[in-house]
Amino acid sequence: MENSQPEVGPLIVQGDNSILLDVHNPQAEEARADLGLFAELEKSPEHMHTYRITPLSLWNAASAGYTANEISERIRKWSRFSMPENVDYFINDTISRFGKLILREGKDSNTLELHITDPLIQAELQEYNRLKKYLTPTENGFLLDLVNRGTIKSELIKLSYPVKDEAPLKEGAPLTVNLLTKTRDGYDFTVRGYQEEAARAFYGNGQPGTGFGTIVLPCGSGKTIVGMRAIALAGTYTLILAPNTAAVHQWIDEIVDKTDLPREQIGEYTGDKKEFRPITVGTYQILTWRPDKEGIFPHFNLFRNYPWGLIIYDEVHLLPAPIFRVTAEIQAIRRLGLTATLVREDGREDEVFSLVGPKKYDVPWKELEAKGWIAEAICHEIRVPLPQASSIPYATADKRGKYRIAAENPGKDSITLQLVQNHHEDHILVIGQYIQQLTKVAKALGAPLITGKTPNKKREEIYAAFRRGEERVIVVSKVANFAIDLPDASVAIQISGTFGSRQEEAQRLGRILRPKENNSYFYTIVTQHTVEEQFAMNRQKFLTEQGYKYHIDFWGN
Amino acid sequence: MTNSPTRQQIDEWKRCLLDLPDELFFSIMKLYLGDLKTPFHKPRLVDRIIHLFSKEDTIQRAVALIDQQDALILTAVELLDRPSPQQIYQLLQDSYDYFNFHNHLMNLQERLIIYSCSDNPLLHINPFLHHDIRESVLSPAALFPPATPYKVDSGPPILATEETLWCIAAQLKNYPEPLKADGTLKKRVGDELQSIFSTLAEDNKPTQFYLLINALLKLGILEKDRNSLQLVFDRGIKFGNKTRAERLYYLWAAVCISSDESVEDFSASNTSINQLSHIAASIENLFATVPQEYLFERTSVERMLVAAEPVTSEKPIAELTTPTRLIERLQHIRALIGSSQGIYRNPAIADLLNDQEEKTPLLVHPDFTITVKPPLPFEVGLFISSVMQLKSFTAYPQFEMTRTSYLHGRSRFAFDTIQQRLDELSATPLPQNIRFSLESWESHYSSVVMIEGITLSLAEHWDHMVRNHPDFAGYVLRDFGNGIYVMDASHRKNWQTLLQDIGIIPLPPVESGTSSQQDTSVSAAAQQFPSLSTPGSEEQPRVNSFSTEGSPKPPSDADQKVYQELQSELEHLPHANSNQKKELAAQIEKKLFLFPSQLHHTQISPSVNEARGINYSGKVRIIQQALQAEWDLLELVERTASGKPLRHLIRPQELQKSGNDLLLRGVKLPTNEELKVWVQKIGYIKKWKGSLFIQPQDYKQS
Repeated sequence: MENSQPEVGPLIVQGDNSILLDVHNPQAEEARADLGLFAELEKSPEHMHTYRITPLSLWNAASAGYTANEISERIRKWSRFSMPENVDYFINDTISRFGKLILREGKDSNTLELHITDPLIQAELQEYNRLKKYLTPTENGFLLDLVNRGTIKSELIKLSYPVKDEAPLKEGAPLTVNLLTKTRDGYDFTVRGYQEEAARAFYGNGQPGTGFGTIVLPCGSGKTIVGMRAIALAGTYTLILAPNTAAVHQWIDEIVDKTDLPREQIGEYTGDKKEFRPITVGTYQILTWRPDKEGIFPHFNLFRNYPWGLIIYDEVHLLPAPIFRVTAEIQAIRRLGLTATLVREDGREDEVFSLVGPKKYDVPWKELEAKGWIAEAICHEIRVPLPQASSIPYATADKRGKYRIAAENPGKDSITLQLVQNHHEDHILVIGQYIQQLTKVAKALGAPLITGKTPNKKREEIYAAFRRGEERVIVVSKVANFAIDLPDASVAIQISGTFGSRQEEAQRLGRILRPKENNSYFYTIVTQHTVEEQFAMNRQKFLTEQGYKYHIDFWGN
Repeated sequence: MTNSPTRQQIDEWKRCLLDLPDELFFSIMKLYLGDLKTPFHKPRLVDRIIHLFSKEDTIQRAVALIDQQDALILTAVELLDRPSPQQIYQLLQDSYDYFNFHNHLMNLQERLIIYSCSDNPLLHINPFLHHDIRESVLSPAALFPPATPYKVDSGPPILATEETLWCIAAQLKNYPEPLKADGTLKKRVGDELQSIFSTLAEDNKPTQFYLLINALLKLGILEKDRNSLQLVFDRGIKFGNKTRAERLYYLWAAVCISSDESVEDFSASNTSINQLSHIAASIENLFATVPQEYLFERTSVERMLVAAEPVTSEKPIAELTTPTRLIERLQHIRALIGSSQGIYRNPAIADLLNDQEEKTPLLVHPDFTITVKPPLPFEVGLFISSVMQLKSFTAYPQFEMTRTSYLHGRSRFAFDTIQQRLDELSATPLPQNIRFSLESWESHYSSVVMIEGITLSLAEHWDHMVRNHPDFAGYVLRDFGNGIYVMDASHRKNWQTLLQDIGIIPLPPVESGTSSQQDTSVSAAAQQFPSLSTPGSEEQPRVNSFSTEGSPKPPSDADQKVYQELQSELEHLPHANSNQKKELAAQIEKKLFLFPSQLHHTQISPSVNEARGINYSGKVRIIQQALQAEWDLLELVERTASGKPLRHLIRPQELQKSGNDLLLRGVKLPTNEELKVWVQKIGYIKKWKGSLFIQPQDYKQS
């Protein structure tokens, strides 16, 4: 152990529980492998990556069998300086809480036992109002209904009492799925190393305490493959939820293309079709539809009435609030969350983790870029002046109004045209927020426009034409922010966006990250000396934290 | 064995003896020389005393009677090199209460082992005894119990470092008025500081921040103006010019005498800086004395601190704080670590004293965050704190560049300077988007200009003369043409004089909007931080190094031999009644006699020195005697309303009649607090000699 102590370790352990990883250190990769066991990757810019030790990351490590001593020892092994005492204390204290509350199978199939060894904790929980209605005290803990499993776990996490969930998960109806080595389109196909690792990190050993979690991988890195591999590992009926119909169709196409499942075993559950099959792919939208604001969600029965053994939440960061509730009910089923950007502007990332499952695997975007698994993207921010005619309305508008005037700056139109001309051999997405602006640009470019009002069928046609190369440029609103796979798109021009949304910026960049021979280009056009500059800076935060660099220029320079 | 004193030492002792008040002088002379014959010739009598103490036998007897308690005080006198009684008490207060200490000191003076002069209250060892005492009595190990080897590989992070200082300065710039009227931090400010400086936070109280902010005020790096705190940048630069070690000791000195309850109303002055320098030098000496990898008893460390205080004209530390409190503060900031077994030096100090500062300490990321790698020059820390926003205070502090932080920094640095410094300090090339944003922010900054100053408007005929004067341009903040200038308000006197010199006499008054800026010529920024250890400086540490070797004086039977001689003589003393023998026995016990012959010619005149209970007139008489003698002290026990008696040692000042009782006013020792007590409330009173050599006023000064 002492012999392997590096002279200058790659980790700098900070008193606020963050850990800096000096990526240029020769031992950085070994240290990173250890860090991944108990810390979350927060930022991965070029030189120094930031990890953070959180209660959730530690409990996750504890559930995988790591002790506080083992974690501290691994940190010390790679640490450049001595570990702050408070961090050591935090690790010990946090880990010591794990295992004090154990969830076990109850006497009947609808009941679970929350086993508590410490009478003080039991007394504390008994007095906690938010839990009273769910818990029936027993000698060594409480009884609870099976449907409240998620709610209880979520509430207890908020109280810093993690639950060691040893109650077995429902197996679901069996289904044998194998991934093909040659796709039905005739291409060779293998699951990449990181995809296999991610799927296995989720599935674990198939025993209680495993089989739920979130996988974070960059856009274009093949999260769908991870999902399919997870289905194959679980070997059970699976419900897949995606953000829109186009994404549903992509899932179905991918499963058909890369697995041995026949098409008729795969169902679509959208506004257009209500099929139930061993693999069913639906949208969040249809599940959260209800006839009136106060009414029940009729499609929630999809969760409850079928023998699912696995539910996959694609783009899990978009999970709508009602789905949180139903997800809390179905904790007996394996759950896999997939996302590239687990940042929510509403700050509910923790709820995603506690209901779907903690982060089980992630990998820095730039690492996959370096290995060629995602395209290298060159990001430009182009500053354009506000025309004089807009300056007085801008000066007198409120902050929202100011943003809109800046975002719809007509000066952006000509730049967009010029950029499209400059990339005359590329497939280009022009992405924006405001329909009026997009309509004008689409008209000027002579390109098709997809907005929320475009019927699904029409959208599919346009996407298909783009994929076939019949359309070189398409103009899209935020409906294309997520889960649209356009493998040949290599240029994205963002002319406006949803204020400072970091995940929107990342997802839009993600549209052009499918690996290809040439680099991809991402342009964002921003009005100079306006509030849009600040919003743009905020939007770029997630990507710059991943190591992307924006080159800023004035148009014309 | 003996080593003769120099002529100068003898003359000094002689002078001090001659300066004694007559009553004391003659009582001492009689004690050692027997009956004196008139006419008295004081110098001749002193010569006889000198002759007596120059004899080997006298020296051996005097030294033989020195016990371990005496040795402790004498070691302190030697170690502290001519200390005041107060300083010795500081050093030994854990071994004595003040009464015992005072008694011991008096006894040593009466035995002519130590002395001082009326014009200089610092204590010396009798020059004839000095050599023998040094050789066979003094024992550093008695003062500093031996340390135990104690090896620890690492220590907890030290709370008060210069990184903490400039990071706090960086955070404070976000708050125009962070303080409430009572000097406490506003809740939001306190909460934010605790969140960002989570490693400093304790019990949800901003205690640490008060300490550090007050330290910055004491160093003059911050200025408090009602509810706001301003960075005094130039002052910070001066501080940065000190060595890293000096900066650290200055900071710890400032923390040690700062309040942890609120932000103090304090403005740094030359006096306070010199005082700070004095304390910093003491702390530096202490850490030079306390070796690493040893565990010390708390008493030892406190004594080392007292011993480490340099001899300067500055107010002694004792007047600002106690060694116990100072050591507690050093423990609080984790410079010293306390354990159940003792105190040891935090090994992390070695890192803080490391002068290998990072040349390129910044890692500038494209997301505008900046990782800072300490150690770095303090001046760079100030630059960072001026132009960047602190995100988290950790081993590698995290900052962010924002438009707001840039505009803040821009008020101090030119655009080119900011860009150039970032280029120089950055370990990797500055990302293009950062460089571009700086230019964009600069364009924003320069598109709106607000200049604080005095507008000077000159008619054309004056303008020509003034504009071309070579000194004028130095005071102009902005020239708007047509004779309109914005002038530097901080140098108003200088340029007004210049205008007058040019011939604009009389100058009209400034119409309105006079600058709020103060003339900074006497501000904290102008003060210098004195060096802590300059070779040849007048400041000298009292101890140069601490030795863990040496042992207390071994028991000897020499004293028993002298005792037996004296006791035997006393038993056969003719013409002495039992009371007189009792009195003489007490004096033998006090070691006032060296030779049996002294017992024969000592006049026993029992004096009443104490009174108690209902003996009101006795108590008054003793008070009056003490007041008359001027240098006598009074021990008294005061009956309080709660029934709990309070014991005081006071220097009486005045006895006033008030109603049916008398009110005694005096000053408590060693605290110098005023005490007023009704004589009826005094349960017991005893008169003590204040000092043989030192008059009351001298004692007070000491």
